[in-house]
Amino acid sequence: MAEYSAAFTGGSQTSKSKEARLLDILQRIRASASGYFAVHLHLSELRPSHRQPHFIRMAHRSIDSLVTKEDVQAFYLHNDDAILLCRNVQVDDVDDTVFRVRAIFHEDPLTQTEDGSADDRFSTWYDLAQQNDFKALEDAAIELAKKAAKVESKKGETSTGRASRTMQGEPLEPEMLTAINQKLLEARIGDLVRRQPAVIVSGKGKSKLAFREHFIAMEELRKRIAPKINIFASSWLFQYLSETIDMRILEVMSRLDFSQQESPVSINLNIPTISARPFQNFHAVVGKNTKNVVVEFQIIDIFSNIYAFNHARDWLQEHGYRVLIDGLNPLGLHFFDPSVLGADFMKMSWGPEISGGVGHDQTERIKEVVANMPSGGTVLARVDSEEGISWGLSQGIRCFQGHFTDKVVEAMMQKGAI
Amino acid sequence: MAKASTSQPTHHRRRTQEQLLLEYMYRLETRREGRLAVRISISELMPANKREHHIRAAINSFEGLVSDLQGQLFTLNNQDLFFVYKADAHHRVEDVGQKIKFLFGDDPLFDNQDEGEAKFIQWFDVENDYGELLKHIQELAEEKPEETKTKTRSNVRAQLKARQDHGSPLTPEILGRAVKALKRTDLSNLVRRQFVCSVNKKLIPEQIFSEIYISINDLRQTMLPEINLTSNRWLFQHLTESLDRRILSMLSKSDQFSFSGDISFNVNVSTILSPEFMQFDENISAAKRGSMVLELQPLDIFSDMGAFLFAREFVREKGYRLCLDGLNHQTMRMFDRARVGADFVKVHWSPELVDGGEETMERIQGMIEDAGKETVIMTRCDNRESVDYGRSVGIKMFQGHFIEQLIAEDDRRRQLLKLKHRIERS
Repeated sequence: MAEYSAAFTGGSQTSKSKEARLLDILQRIRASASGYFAVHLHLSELRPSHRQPHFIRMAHRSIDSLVTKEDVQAFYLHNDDAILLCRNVQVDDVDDTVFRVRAIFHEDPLTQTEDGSADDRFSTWYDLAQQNDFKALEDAAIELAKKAAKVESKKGETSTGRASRTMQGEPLEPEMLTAINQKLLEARIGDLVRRQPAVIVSGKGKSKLAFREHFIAMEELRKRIAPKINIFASSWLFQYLSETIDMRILEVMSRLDFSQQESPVSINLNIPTISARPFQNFHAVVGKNTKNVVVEFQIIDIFSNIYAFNHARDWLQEHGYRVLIDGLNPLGLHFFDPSVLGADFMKMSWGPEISGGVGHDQTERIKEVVANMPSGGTVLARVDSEEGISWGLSQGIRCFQGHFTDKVVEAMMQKGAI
Repeated sequence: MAKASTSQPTHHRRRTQEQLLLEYMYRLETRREGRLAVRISISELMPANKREHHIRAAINSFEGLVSDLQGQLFTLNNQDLFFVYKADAHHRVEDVGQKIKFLFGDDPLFDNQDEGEAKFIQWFDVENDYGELLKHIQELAEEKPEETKTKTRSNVRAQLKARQDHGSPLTPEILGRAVKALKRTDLSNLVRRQFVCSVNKKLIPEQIFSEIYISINDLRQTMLPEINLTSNRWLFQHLTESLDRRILSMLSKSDQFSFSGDISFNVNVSTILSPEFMQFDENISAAKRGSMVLELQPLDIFSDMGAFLFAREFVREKGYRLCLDGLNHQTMRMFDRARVGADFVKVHWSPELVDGGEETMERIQGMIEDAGKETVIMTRCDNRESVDYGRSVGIKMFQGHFIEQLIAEDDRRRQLLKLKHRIERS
């Protein structure tokens, strides 16, 4: 232990990891550990969808309220795990806190075992007065410290690399909007427009293109107009910017020749955009070929003014356009049926919360909603694996979009099947 | 303005009341003999006691005097009442003053009888103290200076009026300033309360819970009189997150805000997941959580479904109740209330419903049945028609100006009854 602890607790005080500090303290109390016990909360084993920063923060907050009242130290580790080190504290008090944290995640399978039972995967208790337990915690802490060090060094490697996927930068604030908006109006944008096909899968592996979505590569756009700002930090403020993005993408789309399009195109727009001048210009360019255009609206936009949506949908459909409702989540279909909105398509995203398994009741509901839509009218987007396709097919979904579909389409195009 | 409008609160017109009062004072200069004035300082009361229906009742109690041409009533921006009247009517005005004081009798302002009353009801002698009073009113009017001169062309006038009533559009810069200012502005004066009531056949209301909210119109008047805060939906939505936090911090100070009965308030999902909510939650007792209803907007639910599902479990586990707010007859049928995990749903009244005829009515009846009759609240009820229609489709709970009126009437009836019993006994 001594050499490990030296290895992992070295360095200046400020750069010490939580894991290293825990090891430090264990070292100090080793000789007189009576009255001490520890609880390890394995938050790192929650489902990814439950490990979002604000959820973890809520868990920390519950723990913090115990720390301020009792002789308890909390160590929040690099992998979201938490270890509570308690001295002469009533087990009941700690129990309460552990229970509260458990309750926060009560939907997660991890918490569905009884606290303190042999198969409890959520928490591990250590009586540090017992040598065995002390050793077990120490080993666990060393393991965690090793992992933390590895993660730390990896971070160093990739931060200069191009693969920093997490959104970085200062969160977007209202004061920044005008300047960003101006840049949005001025920036070159044509080269940032990407296309992604939505494919209808029919029996015997045959497929056909439903439409190609045209969209702006947001992360690249962000780098161009606001490299230091996380423009996605507030969904409302981002929506504000999206109204300007609409104008720009319509500009680009108006350069297309719609009589020559072999497959329909789709674009994401805000509802008020439909009655604005750039869309009317676009409408003139599309001319008689409106059946080749699908307009995608976000569900939050629809709820911000349902009457405006009704009006826009009627106008579009009367003129031959088709309307798609975007921004849905399969979990939401459990309590929400968008089929009454009278759209031609609805689109929902495949994600980890689905791949982890969905309850029977929910699956039945999703099937019902899909059945309420026109045939092929439900699109499962962001499909990155075959698993997504087979899940979708089992729900009655026939239209797919995402990286996995892209590859399929590519292969089919090579074979001349599309 | 001969009398305050009673059916609809016309917040945007209140702004000019100070100026109207000032103009009236100027006109009185040569005819001031035998004139008195009284100011009823509603603003001195605790926010929780400034119930809309009580204020309306207070305004109504001047009605008789106004229609008898005994005086003029002005409702100031801070809800204070200013009544200028002929000396002949002084006894009647004194009675009205006592009646209004009685309405708010349980406010701590009156813990010290005389001092409280002197603060609440101020008397002025217009004839003899004209100069002093004029100065006082000039100050009131200056607090909100009028920014435009009267134009003669009517279309310009109409445009100006629209802008004055609704304001210039909210820009990101103004939003930024507003968000910062909100952190330090005392909003307790802007807190309003409206009751959700069951209403029986005889239109007698029974209170179920009350919604606590910040009046957006009054907020605008106080902070940004020239700005239309709701002109851009996304910027406004951002502002509501700041308002949420202010409501939470106010509700945490239970010494100032002890609302009787169960209460509800609006929150964003992001607010529930914020440290401010955690803190709020830690400061209130478990029993209190059960008396609180959190109102969520569908827009917000869909903005981050994962966050909503998480927040929902969290607050339900803690014992709060949930209300799905802001639905109408079209959006309501898309939701399965029980599966959303909401204890209540609020659906807006709209006169359109009546136009829809039998078919709409049957569909709505079905919707109410599916959601559960005990869970649906019809909001924005401005008139009797809304309640009649709601009852005919099976709705039992209502909210809106009309309900506040019913409460005021019911209070009055009870008082009369009490008085009658007292007289009978003596």
